[in-house]
Amino acid sequence: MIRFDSVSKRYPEGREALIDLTFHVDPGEMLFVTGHSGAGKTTLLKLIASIERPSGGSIEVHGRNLARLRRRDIPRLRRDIGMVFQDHRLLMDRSVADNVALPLVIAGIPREERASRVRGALEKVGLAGRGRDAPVGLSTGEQQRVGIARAIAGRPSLIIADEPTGNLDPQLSEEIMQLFLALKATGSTILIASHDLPLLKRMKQRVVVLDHGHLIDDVAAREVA
Amino acid sequence: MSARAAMASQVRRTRLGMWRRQHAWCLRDSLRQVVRRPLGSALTIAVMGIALALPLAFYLLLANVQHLTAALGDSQAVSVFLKSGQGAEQAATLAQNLRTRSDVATVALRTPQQGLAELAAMQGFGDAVQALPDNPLPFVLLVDPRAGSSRAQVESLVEALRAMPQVDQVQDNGQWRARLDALVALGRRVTLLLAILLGAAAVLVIGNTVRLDIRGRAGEIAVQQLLGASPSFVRRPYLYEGACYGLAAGIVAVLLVLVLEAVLAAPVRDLVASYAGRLHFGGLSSATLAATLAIALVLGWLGAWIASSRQLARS
Repeated sequence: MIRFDSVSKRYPEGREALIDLTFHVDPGEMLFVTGHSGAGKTTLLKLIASIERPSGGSIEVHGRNLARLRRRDIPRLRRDIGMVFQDHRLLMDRSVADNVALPLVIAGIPREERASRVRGALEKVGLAGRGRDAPVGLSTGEQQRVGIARAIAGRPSLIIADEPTGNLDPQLSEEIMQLFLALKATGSTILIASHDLPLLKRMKQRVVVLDHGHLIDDVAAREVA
Repeated sequence: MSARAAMASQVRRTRLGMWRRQHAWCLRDSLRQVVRRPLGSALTIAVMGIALALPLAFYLLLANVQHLTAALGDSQAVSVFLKSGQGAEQAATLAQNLRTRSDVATVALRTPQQGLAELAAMQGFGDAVQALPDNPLPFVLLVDPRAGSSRAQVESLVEALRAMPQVDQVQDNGQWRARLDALVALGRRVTLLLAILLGAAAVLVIGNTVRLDIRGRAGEIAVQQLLGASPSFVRRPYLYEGACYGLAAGIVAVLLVLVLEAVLAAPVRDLVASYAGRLHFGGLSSATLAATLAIALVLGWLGAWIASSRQLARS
């Protein structure tokens, strides 16, 4: 599903964000990427979504080598990935349903199917019947759920989330993580960047640890304690 | 149909459906954005509408002047007024002599009675004609130069006519006709320049509005791009927005010119009547209206295309 082979990323100002990173993620696996601030977690997710290009090495996602991906093929790649952001990135002037429907509109899904998928996604995140609400009237946790509903509405086989519980209290964080576990159970591959170590320990999933751009540890799910 | 052809047809239908759905969504989205800022949108539409109305009004004026020149025909007729002592027989002889000239096509004789009747038929002259003790008008010969004659040849004919002892005065109608044609040509060029300048202004107004809109929606554009929107998908709502502004401005321009037409209709009708109906005041044709709306729509689209190309290339 995802394969990093000696991947490096150097930003134009000279900062080395990732150095010689090699790991892979199997289909249906759930993987946490952790490390202190500036360790390279977000850069790693940006490389997977082709928001950034690697400076060296190769990245394969869905069997496609991202280093060779043409610029015009990037939107197609992103349509196969569900993205969840720490700051939700919801469109506040649209309804909840419109936000969730956006990736479906982009993919050209027919209106009836769109409505059905939006209902299904909102049900999955516990927001059934809230489609007409404005995001601004929702709590932070509910807004994050809308962000997750938007990520899963397109039924992507890969979901990446950048600090999805960063702004949430422990109880809400737990609820959001349970949602990701439920998605994993349906066969989705999930990659989450998080620095919340207690949460990671409770989740008991595979963890990749980054430090100053180096992969310093890759802990299997059964070894997380 | 083979299985492969059926599948290809199915794929084409699916792609077409996808394309249609995306366009429908983008159109709704752009209309929503236009309606969301009623004052800003109204100002943009009004400015562009006035900019388009000006060349349209000039075009209307020019079209009516062209009607006038068309009504006059393209002849270079010369009116030859004979001296008051010349009788019918002498006038007919002179007409016959002129017909034999190689530079003359036709000669028509108009008697003083015919001239007086024509004058009496004109509005406002009836009473004056009645008051005349006798007919002061001379015999007039309407001389048409040979078809294809140049200005120099006509002027040479005019000189020859002036030199004849029976002739009192020669009026060269082609001379003022040439001046009118030159004025119409100048008016046409001024209208074209005005249309280009104000069209460019309209493009800039729409472009600036769309540019500000794109800047205001930078966050939304970033989200769309992250969710896999292609550059054309991101740009499409702004192109529709520009086209909507353009179309609305075109409607405003047409309405302004129709109002202008209505306001001027009565005085122009009086003016036309004073010329015994020889002049005709025409309004905008449905083809002109349709062309105006189409041009306005294209200008709006163009402004949005320029602005979105520049702004989205930076995002």
